[in-house]
Amino acid sequence: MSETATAPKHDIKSGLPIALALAVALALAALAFTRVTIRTDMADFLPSGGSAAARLMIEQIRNGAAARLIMIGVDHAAPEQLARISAALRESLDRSGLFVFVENGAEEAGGADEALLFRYRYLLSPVTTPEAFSVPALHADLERLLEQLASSAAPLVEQYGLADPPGAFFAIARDFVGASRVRTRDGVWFAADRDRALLLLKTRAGGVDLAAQQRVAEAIQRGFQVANPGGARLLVSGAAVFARDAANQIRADVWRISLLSTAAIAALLLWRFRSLWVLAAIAIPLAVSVAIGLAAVQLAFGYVHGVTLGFGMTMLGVTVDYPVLLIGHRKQGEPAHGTIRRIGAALTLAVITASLGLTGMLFSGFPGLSQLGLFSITGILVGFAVTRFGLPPLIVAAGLAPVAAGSDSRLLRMEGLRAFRLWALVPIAAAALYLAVIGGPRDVRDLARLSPVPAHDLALDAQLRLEIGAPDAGQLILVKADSLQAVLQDEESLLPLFDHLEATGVISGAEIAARYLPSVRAQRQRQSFLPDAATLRARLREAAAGMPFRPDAFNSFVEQVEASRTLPPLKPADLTTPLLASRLEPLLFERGGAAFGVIAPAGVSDPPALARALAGRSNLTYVDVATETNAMVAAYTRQAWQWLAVGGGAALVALIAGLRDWRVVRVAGTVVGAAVVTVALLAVSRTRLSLFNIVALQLAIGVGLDYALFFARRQLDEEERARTLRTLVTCNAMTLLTFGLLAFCRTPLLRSIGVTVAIGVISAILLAFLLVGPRPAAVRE
Amino acid sequence: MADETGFTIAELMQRLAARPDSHASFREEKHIAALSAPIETSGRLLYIRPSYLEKITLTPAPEHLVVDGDKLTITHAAGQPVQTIDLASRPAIRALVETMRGTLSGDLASLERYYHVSLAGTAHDWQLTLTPTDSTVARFVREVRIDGSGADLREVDTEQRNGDSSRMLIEPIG
Repeated sequence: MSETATAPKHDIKSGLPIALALAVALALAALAFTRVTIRTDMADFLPSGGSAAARLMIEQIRNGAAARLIMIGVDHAAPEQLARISAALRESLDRSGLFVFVENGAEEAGGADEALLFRYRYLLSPVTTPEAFSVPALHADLERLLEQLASSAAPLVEQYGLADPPGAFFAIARDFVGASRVRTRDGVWFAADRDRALLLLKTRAGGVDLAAQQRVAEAIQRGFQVANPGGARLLVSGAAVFARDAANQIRADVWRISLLSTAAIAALLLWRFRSLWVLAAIAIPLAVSVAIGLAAVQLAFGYVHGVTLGFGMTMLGVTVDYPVLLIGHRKQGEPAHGTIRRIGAALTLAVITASLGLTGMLFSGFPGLSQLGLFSITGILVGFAVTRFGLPPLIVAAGLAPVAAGSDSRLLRMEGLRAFRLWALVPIAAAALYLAVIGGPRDVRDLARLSPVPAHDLALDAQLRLEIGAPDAGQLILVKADSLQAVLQDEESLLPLFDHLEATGVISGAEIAARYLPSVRAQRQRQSFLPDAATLRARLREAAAGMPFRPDAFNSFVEQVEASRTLPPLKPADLTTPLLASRLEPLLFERGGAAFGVIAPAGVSDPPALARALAGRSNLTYVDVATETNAMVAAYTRQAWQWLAVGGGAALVALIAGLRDWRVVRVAGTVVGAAVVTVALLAVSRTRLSLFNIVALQLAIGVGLDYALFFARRQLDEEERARTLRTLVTCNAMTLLTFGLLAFCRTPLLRSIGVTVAIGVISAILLAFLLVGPRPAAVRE
Repeated sequence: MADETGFTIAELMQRLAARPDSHASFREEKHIAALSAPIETSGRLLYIRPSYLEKITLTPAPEHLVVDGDKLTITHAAGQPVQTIDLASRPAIRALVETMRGTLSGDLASLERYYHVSLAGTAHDWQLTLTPTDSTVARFVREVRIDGSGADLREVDTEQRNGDSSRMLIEPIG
């Protein structure tokens, strides 16, 4: 093979082995992709919760009825237009078959709810007591009616009041309206204080079934377009929408960043090595890593999570360094073993320490992170093995080596900076001091901060939820019993307690299933309080004495009370009218042979007082969802730090065994220093560290180890030192081009990872260059 | 002085529309099917152009009803919750409000949204008869008759579909 000093000669033939190897590697990767089971259900990626109650609660929040509710707002048009769009949208969504119900307040639906409540008013309402039908109580009721008939409310009183003097119906309706501030206009729901038509949907599919929720989203978009919306705006929110948007956004971000960074890295490598074959050579270990990594995860877990795949591919950015380190250190025309002799030990040690450092992730307890850890470690080891044993003959055959770029001695003049290397300790010390003063890095305590949902989407969700009166869950009380009826009875015994809590201002209200639907026992008891027609008629006559009511004024009241005495009590399954069903379902459900009631208190001003009031009742569990999930996140974050320390310890042992001298201090000092500086800078920028930052930090430490170990090699001539410097700068640029670009993502999670890695690897390369490499004086000796 | 024999709706509406804000006292007699005797109420009325209407009932029980644009609020006594109704969401109540407000403001178009409007009498003594054409209104109202003199309303009689009726006598103040 002929060789020139400046540009190696490449032809198709010399690259043929590389092309073949690449084809095989890509085929392997393709095979792996078709064989693994990829899941996109976010429930699999997130932790499942510590206690049994928390697990059930989180499962319920994620996939229960509340998670399947979607709220739609349509605004930015004239009210008549909005009403028309609402009606058209409802019709097409109803037809799609994707929804359990599609509710927009249209008359029939609301009417059905109202008719049911009115018919069952004496069974459902707490107003039904024996005293309510006594002569004195009826007398007071009639006096009130008379007064109301004189007021402008007379038509309403005639419609409802005469048939229901005790006011049982209004008592229920008040409970049901609850937090909902919805108004009806042109026959459909509107927000109370703005021109925004509202719809409430419940999907058949689970809230975190992303593929199904994607179809739901498309159906909503299509329905809206078909409704000739003009300039109107469609707002869609709900837990399922968030889950889907987050997944789509992460996918779009990763995809865009991947394209961008691949193009940038290709340009960089092309400039550095002047050969497209280098790209092919780098892709070989990467493709094999992905294939084997996927297979390992599939074998260990039975499936590969979509997020593991997404992050894992990015994580394998480290393995891209290995072939670059190999090719970057090769002298033109050098046989394979020559390059390996110079860098083999450093590379091996870097790989061992990086893999050991990542073991923390493997044991993080976060299912998604464990997968990610396994995928990354396998990928790194495989990437190394392929680079170390497979690539050398191929790159020799293709004549791949760096192009001399500028004079080595000029580059090496930078080494003069090492004379001031003690100054590099200043930022490390300052960072450490800062962290000590503020009491260590701030961990994320709030799961919401991990949420990829942008703040304005959360605000919109809260707004629609309030406008439509859909349930929200901040604190929950779980009532467990053998049957739904037993749950309702338990809840009934709790009602006085909640009334007391409300009266004393501990809570501002509570959603309790038993308040909407009393147990069959309670309904039967109320039926026993109802007097028969003759008795009621006689009592009314007595109560109305001296009042100008005509004898037949209360006929419908008497008839309906009589009918109520023999109505079959309402059971949960009978509540099929949309508004009632959607209100009750999140509050009452059966799971695994047991029945559960969820009590959702609102406006909890004093959580400890609430917890105290509920303490000591064995059939119920009080869960502050925020506290519970935050405690969970805190526990996992703590664990992640611990595993980071364990991984770091293992890596240190490997370092000591590999280096066996003072360089251990410099190398370890460099990576620990870089980590401390990174954490301090993140703290300065008020970033709270989540698990994902910690993982990103591990990645940065792994990459930093590469730098330090390559600078730490001994007895290098000027030419080799220049090669190392150039190659490491290339590797660093590649890492920045992948992770640095993540810093520009819309997804907070990815952005935060990107920033962490970018700060980490920049500090690592600067510190490694200054602290680990030999001083110019030492070089000359 | 207008031609008394050919007094038209347009002329009446013009006069009503030209009138400044009105302040009056009222007495109302309501005949309700469920009651064997009528209910009598009294109080004051205030109308400020173009869309503010206030009805203060003093006897037998105090009630303060205000319509301002599309918002209707009812207060019974100090300290009691104020009831607010959005007229846009309650077509029936809106129609009843527009009956009064449309007449006071001389807004024929607004009246004709709900009623067939006919006029009899002279400028000094006219009778306006409103017969519902709108189905929502027709469910509640059979007929509304408004008697007046010049730009003053004197009497509003409402006959409801269910047989109830009311008669309100109005006396301008100041």
